[in-house]
Amino acid sequence: MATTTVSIGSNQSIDTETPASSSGGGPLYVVTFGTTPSGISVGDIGFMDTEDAGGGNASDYTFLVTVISGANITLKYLTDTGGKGDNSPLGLYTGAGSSGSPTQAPVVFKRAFSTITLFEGMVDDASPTYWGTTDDVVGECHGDSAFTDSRVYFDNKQSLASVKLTVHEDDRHDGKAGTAGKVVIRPTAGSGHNNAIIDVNIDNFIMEWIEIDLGSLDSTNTNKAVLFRGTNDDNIIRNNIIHDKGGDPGGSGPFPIHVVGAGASDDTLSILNNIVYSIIETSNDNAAAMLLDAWAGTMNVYNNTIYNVQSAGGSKIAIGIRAGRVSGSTANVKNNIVAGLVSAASNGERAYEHGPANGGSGTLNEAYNLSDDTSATAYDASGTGSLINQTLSDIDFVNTVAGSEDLHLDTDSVCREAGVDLGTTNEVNIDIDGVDRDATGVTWDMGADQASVSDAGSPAFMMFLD
Amino acid sequence: MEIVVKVNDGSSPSSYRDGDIVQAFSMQQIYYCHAQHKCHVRNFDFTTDGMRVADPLLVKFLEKTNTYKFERLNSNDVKRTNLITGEESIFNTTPNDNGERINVYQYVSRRLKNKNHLIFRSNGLEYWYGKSRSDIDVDSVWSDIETHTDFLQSDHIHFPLSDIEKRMFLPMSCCTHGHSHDHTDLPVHNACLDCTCGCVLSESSNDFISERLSPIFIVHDEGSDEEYNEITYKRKYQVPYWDLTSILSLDVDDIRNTNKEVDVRTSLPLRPAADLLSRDKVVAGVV
Repeated sequence: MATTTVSIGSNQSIDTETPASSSGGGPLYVVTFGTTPSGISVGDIGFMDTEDAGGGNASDYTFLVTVISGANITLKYLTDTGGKGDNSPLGLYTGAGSSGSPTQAPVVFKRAFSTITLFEGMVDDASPTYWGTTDDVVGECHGDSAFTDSRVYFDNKQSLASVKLTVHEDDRHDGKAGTAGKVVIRPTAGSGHNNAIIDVNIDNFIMEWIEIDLGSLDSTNTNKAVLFRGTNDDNIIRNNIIHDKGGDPGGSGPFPIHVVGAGASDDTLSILNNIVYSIIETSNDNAAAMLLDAWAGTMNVYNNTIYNVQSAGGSKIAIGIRAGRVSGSTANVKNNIVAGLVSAASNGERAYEHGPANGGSGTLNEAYNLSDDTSATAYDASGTGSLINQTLSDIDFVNTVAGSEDLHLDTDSVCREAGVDLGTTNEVNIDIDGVDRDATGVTWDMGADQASVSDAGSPAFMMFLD
Repeated sequence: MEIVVKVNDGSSPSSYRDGDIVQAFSMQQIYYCHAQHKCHVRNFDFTTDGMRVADPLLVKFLEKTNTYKFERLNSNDVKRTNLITGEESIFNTTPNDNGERINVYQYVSRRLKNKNHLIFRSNGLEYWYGKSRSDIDVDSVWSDIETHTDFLQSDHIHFPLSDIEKRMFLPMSCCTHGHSHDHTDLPVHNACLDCTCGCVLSESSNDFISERLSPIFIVHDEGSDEEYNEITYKRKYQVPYWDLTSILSLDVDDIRNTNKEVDVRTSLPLRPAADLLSRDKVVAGVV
């Protein structure tokens, strides 16, 4: 199956350059330019406003950037408004000059889509012009400006093999929210109660490297950032940062990652290397970072960091991770950190909950997790290698000051080298900064950050003395 | 406000339908999007010691879009100033009553590894900003941009939609009309769609704009943690553009030809009334 990458961002004037040479046959043309375009990426659009040599017969051409190799830019013909058909960019003219001396038209490079919502609108289209009907489609976000999408609903991918929402490698966060020039979804309007910012009801979906800042929604009824509705087989949510939901969202509290559909017993959903923090209910409701217990299939919850989850009200609970309610389901929960729970209820601080009040009937495989000293004993981390009753000083985050949080592990953290090697499936080995735990041969840390470093490059030095 | 309208029905019952309002932008969103382009971190250089240059425009932008300023005081202490209230707090490696602590050396060292960092230095000590504001005064931000650059806010009145989007969807402008007449009278009511009736025009409220993107849904398990909405239609509101061809001078064939770019966005004095342009599909009996 083919993979098609399209860019998502608000920069509609990245660069404008004039083709100088072209090789290859349609629809793929390897083009060089008088000046090599700067700032462009695979997935951007090359737009050309053309007319026949000498004028007339106008047609706007659209090409897709598919490969960038030094000065060689591969442009794929997509469409033209005049219906002239596939042509190389070299030899398309502005209409200026004469038929004997035409003027080459420049290529204006732009993002393919300006918002995630409109990208999703195209995923939903049964007759896509910009990718094949059975492609693996990658929407690659750029940090041109903050995305304000408040209601994206991936509910139909037609015949596409998969959909990935990712971030261009230059625009990925560095494991901390608020990284300048990086991709962030910061809605300025609410999603509506129980509707998520990113709502997913398709199989084979990946969302990665995105920050969702809910800080502008305290006065709205938004209570979910990512919602799984049941058609979520082989969904992967990884390397994201979700933070700062306060206020009273209404009928039910803030659950930034929530599964409400069961899926099938052989479906798999993976939540890997995410950071979720400052989820604070202010008016008589529960709060939970990850409410996952409705899932009927296999759930992998690995290497996430959760901090500062607060419920409000005498009987309301604060939950880190709840999983494993459904009979026949399997929840694998490993290498996670849950800290900073606040609840006024008796036994209300629940770092790890096996279904509501530990009444789940699914299989819960827990190991190498950490709960701090805020968690009620019945909901502490359990299983091989788990750490309980740890203080914030023990966990040793770099920065927990509100407004500047950095939940990387500092030098003295007990989480360092306290995790278990979980392999490379679904890129669980890639930490919140992009560090490859597998390639570097380190002992795994708990949480989303791999702070401890490999000693593979510094082999033991043995001195033999005679 | 600007809206982006679906053209042609999607293929499945849950897909967007012809006329659905897929996306909506307030003017504040539009202006702020462009402001972010002008004040993008990559537009500003580094100092010789690897800090970000404290360019006056960049610093003003950060002060007006963030809640806090953080200033390193020494090897251990950081002062946080709330830029809205002026409240100051000191933090260091010892947790305060809220458990807040910072290892400033580690924090700054990590940030400086990022080529897009926004760490500044004054008198040998670093400072930075944090926590985006929810109440950004976008006009004030643009005033600074106009002071320090040749860009004008008035040249940035449309959201930068892509060419693909302008072919696959229909972008339109609209606003709130303060009726100075009996707007229940149908002909006059229609006049609010082409702005010939002397209304006072203003930007639509954020709540109004947000509501245009609502889905139609059924609530299940209400009141429990398992409460959820079953979405039956992706959007509640539509623009029946096919009924507005005459009054808005629209060509339906052009709009529905996804090989043609159609963009009927206008400047404020020409914007039709948002409440007449969009209609609730449930109230209208469409669904």
